[in-house]
Amino acid sequence: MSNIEHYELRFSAIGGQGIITAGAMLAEAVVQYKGLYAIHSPRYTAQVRGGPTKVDVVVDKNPINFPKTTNVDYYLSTSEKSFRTYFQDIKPGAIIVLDSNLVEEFRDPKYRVYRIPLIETAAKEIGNVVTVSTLSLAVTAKLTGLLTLEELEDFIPKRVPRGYGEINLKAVRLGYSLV
Amino acid sequence: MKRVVMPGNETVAHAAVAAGCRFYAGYPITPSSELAAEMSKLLPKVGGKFIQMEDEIASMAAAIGASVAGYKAMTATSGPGFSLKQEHIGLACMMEVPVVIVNVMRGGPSTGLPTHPAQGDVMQARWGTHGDHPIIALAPAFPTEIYMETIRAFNLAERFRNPVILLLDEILAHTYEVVDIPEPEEIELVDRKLPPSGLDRLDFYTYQRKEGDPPLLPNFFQGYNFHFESLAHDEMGFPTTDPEKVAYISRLREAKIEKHREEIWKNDEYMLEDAEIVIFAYGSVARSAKEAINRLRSEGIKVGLFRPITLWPFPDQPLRRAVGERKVLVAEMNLGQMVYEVERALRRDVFTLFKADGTPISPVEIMDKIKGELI
Repeated sequence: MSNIEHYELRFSAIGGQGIITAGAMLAEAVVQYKGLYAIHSPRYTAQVRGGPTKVDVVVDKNPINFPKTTNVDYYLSTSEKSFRTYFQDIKPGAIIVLDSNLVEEFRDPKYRVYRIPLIETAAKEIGNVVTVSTLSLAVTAKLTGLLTLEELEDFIPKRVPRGYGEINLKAVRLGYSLV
Repeated sequence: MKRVVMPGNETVAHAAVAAGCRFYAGYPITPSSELAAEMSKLLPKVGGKFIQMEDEIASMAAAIGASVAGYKAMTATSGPGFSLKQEHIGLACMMEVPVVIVNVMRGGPSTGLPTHPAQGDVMQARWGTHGDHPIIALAPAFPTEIYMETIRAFNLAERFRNPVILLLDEILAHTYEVVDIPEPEEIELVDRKLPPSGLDRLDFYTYQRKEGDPPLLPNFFQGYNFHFESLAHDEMGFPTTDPEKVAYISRLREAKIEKHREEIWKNDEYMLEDAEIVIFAYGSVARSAKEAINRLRSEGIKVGLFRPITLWPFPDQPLRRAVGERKVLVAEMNLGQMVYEVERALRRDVFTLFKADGTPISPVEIMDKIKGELI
């Protein structure tokens, strides 16, 4: 997707799951590797941990005037409640990625729906639940074409806390191969 | 230049430190808290002081105290805290102390809407503290501009020895955006003028000066005895009720800003030349306006933008010159505040789009308004 004009993404979750971080990393990476402009705006409830949260990401070829989403092209969620709470302005044809263990069956021919056990994969297959941020980022990068595997392999070890580079690289590669 | 992604609150903190700010006193309040958090990380690294005070009143006082001791000082808050700071903002105006106050606007009045944007404090920025007083208020709208205007806020405060208010709103403060940070050598910094050190005593009256100049006051601990006074004072800084002396110093206080309005004014004009309709908007609403203008122009509707970056002193002459006889739409996230200044400047009624429900004015709302009423 190197000829991108404008793209809007939303990640929703339960506070503490790490999905907000996935959105933040995505915005930073497209700015760094694609020379695009990006904004991300997190929203928390007063609960912070345990309450519904979301982050909206807008990517654009030009500096962004209106820093809000109006037509979401991509929506990833790891919580049933949050998924419903923030199901607004989703564009027909949008890609929807849902954690298959945590979000109920959702069928709508208007959307391209993927069901992936994101949190379970991070915890059991990769070996640490915190890698769900990177795993979700990799899935998103692959599905949207916003970032290549090589770009993520370069970005992630520098971005994650020291000592967590290897395990997050594993998450990058697994995420990229899942979809 | 370094390109980073960070929210407006952090941008202000980084810019403040680059501008030479070495003292921050505050009391956290949403949506400005991240600014304090970032200052608490940055200041110790450059030998500065960060202090969380017991409330907003005390933090304003502490910032003034640090400034009279020679530090570039800042405090930040949001609506309810801005109300509390007003008394001491007046003190800084009266004593002519440079200080920067950041107000991240949220919905009001009272505790209102803590996590939602508004522009309801623009008149409070001008007249929040009592009595006639000079004030400068800046309202940047874009991420890199937030950085540069923060630096300008410190420069203007130092140059004119006056409080400068930097107005953001929740959207600008919380949205992570691309900021292009200039190299330190690209940044021009202004420091307050000081009398020479080492004299036996000051050989002039501290508050006396040429009309239009700021007073030449020494910093505390520079070695001189002089007087800072919140009461109406004479040219030596001592209380007086002598009408002539009171009028003299108040005139000098006003004149330092009034005479340099051209230097303080800063506006952005977007696609104004051939526009048939002019939108007047500032802060984050101006960004929606820009987007609306781009979309309307693609439909052949000629619209332009007049965006004041300096809100106070109000850019009446530049606005009048730029707008002429064209139709004007004032869009703001309040129930109508700057519109009064626009109408005063243009000496006629204008079209309005006001919203104060905690949600931003969207480009579509501006487009609908223009299509519905202005063409």
